[in-house]
Amino acid sequence: MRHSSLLIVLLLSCNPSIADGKTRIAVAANFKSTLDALIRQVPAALPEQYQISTGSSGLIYAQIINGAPFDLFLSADTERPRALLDHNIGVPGSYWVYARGRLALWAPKRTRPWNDLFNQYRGKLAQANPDFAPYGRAATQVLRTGLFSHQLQPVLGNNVAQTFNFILTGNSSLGFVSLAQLLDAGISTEKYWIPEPMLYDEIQQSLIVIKDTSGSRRLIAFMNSKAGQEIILEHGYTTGQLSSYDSN
Amino acid sequence: MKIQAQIEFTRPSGFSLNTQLNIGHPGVTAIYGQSGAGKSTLLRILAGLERGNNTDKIDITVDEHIWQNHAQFLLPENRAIGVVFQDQHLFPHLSVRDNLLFALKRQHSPSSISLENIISWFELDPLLNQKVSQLSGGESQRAAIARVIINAPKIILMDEPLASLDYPAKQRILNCLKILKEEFQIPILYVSHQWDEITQIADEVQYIDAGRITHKGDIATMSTSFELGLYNGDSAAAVIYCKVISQDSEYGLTQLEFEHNDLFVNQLDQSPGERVRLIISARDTSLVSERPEASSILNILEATVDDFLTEDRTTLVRLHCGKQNLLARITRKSADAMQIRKGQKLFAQIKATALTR
Amino acid sequence: MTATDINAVLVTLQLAGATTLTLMIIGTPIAWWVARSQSWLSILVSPLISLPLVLPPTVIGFYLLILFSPDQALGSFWLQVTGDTLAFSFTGLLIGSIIYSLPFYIQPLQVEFTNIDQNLIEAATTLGAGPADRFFSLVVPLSTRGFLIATTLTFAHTVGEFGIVLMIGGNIPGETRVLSIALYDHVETLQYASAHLLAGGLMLFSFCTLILIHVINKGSLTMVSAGARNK
Repeated sequence: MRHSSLLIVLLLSCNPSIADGKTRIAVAANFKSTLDALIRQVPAALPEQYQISTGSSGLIYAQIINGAPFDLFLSADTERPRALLDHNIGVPGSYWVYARGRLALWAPKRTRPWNDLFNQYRGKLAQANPDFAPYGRAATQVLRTGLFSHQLQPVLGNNVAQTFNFILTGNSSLGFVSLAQLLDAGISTEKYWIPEPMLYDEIQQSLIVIKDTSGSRRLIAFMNSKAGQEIILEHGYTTGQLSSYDSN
Repeated sequence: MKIQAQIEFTRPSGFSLNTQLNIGHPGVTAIYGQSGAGKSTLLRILAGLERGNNTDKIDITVDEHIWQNHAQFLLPENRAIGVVFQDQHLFPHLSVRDNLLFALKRQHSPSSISLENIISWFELDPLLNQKVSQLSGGESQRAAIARVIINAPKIILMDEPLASLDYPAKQRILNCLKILKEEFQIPILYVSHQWDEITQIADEVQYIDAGRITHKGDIATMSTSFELGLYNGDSAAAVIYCKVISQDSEYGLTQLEFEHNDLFVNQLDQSPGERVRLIISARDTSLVSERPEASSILNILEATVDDFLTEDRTTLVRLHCGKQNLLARITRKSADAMQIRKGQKLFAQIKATALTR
Repeated sequence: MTATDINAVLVTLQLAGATTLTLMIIGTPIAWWVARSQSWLSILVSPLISLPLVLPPTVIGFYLLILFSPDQALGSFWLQVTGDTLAFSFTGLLIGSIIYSLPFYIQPLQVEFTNIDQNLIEAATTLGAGPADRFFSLVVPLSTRGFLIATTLTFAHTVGEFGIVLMIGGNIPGETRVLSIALYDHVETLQYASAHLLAGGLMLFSFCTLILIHVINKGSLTMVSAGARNK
């Protein structure tokens, strides 16, 4: 599989430079702002030590598979880190579900009650691509429960960030994004609706250490700490078990 | 067809055209002058290809219609003017026939001229299917002239049409143009700096110098005028008009009548009674005080000296012969020996073989 | 190749075809004006036309996303008239493609127009041909090569469009899911075999296009280049 993805390297623009002492992190777009907040607070480490690349999990995966020199990968799903491990990339014991995403339905110009919206709305609905974006998959699952009375035309963003942009620029009036994004943007609560988590498979966001660095260890240790967990919760995620990664 | 134009036209390069143009008759009016005198610019302004800017003053009226003044401008495509350029400008993507059809389709006015006639007058039959790039200089100029005629303009402007051609091609086209004059009756404005072309074809000459038309007159008068430096070198020639009397097939000569004199020339095609133009080079005219008894020169004409011009080695003499003029160029030595003076009665001798149409 | 991939090919061809046709209609007079105009305005317009050559497509896409928004004039007008958004529609992509491929249509044509001998145009004028007549009966036949290159380049360039479609397309099958997006999706979903198929096909198409342009330039496919002379 390695050789077959030269063309992907052409598509991609990420090109982390080789720098000493830095920890290069690739993070799924939806978690980026949370990661920024975490990094600002990691004790005994300077924010400059971390070099962050963001993008869609699928593209990051393709880059890493072809030798992109990331040290740490925070994915939006569980499949990509597992797939890397299958290819003997990454430290096996480091796999950890670091956050659980929450889906939210955003209708910024909503004037009707939510029930009326579900019964009457006939237009387009924006969501991330269910084929490869975890939030998109979750959105599709929610839709399948018959949330809306009418069949809606899907507008697919490559990832939940692009979906957010579609709605933010007004081109979409309704769509599924992550709760984290809405909290980050300070959207007022009456503009969005949170579906029951039971309606969709847990969006488990997992990470994997690709190359052990002191920066990675410090960050993961912080994410495990109470302070770190609070930051994650504040940003609209729920947390899970603590990591069993040796943080020495 | 009357053309009246008043033009004041200047350019930053220093070039300026400041002149009046009046043409009141059919036939060929030649605009004669040196290169850079403004001849081509004048044509372009008449055609509407040069519009002038705010500082220029251009007024053109044709047959009481205003073509241009400070307030109006008739677009060139709406002026019934045909232009023959020095470089022909035939359309390279079309065959010769299609070039002609292009012009036929856009005739300025309904015309009785048929395409077949034009093709045969200009001998274009063998060339019709050829691509423009395959034509020689003379062939393409004939095609260009034919294209203009089939377009049925009210006036034809010709800008140095023969300049890039060799002598045989030139003559062939001049002959075509002579036919054109007689058959089609379209006034022609003919721009050139070649006097030998003008003497063959023009009826009137307007002389342009540094952007101004300074002299004009009919061809016969202008050809024998001393004022214009036209007498330089071999180009000095008198244009005269004669009438055909009879043909002498045995000797290959035609007899003409010129101011009650007999003239013999190399056989012409014209029939008795027809009017013929002849060009007599000053170089080929010699003078004698008394009528010689037996001379090999057939043409001996009585004439009176009107004026003469002395130069370094030669003297140019203008002679009255009846109502028309002749020119003779003799050595200064002979002029002194004959004591050339105004009013003197002499005989002019012209060899039959020297006369051209 | 799956049915959705074939669908993507069709959408791509439709988009490229519609873009090329539209540019032929609106780009040709612009190219003519820029080639022949002496006014200062044409000096400004020329670099504007070239702008999409150097602007990243994502920049164009980004500004289109904002421009198309129903909160803005154009977007809301469109919404009122058609009941739909400009983004995520074929028409929106068409607008984006026209901007994206504009210089590829105009520039080869402009060069060809500049090379047309002014004398021929004057000759046609004196023969009684007005501006439209001169254009269609003289300029167009003499510019065949330029037209061929312009349309070929525009078509091929639009087939390869990605950045703009990514920003404003919304990946709707049958409407905005073009080949390059389908390729991207295959990569994202680790379907590398399909990705190879599409990528290889696009590569072959591009190569053939370049051969075609090369042949046109050499003159094998054109009738006349004799009308070209420096002004």
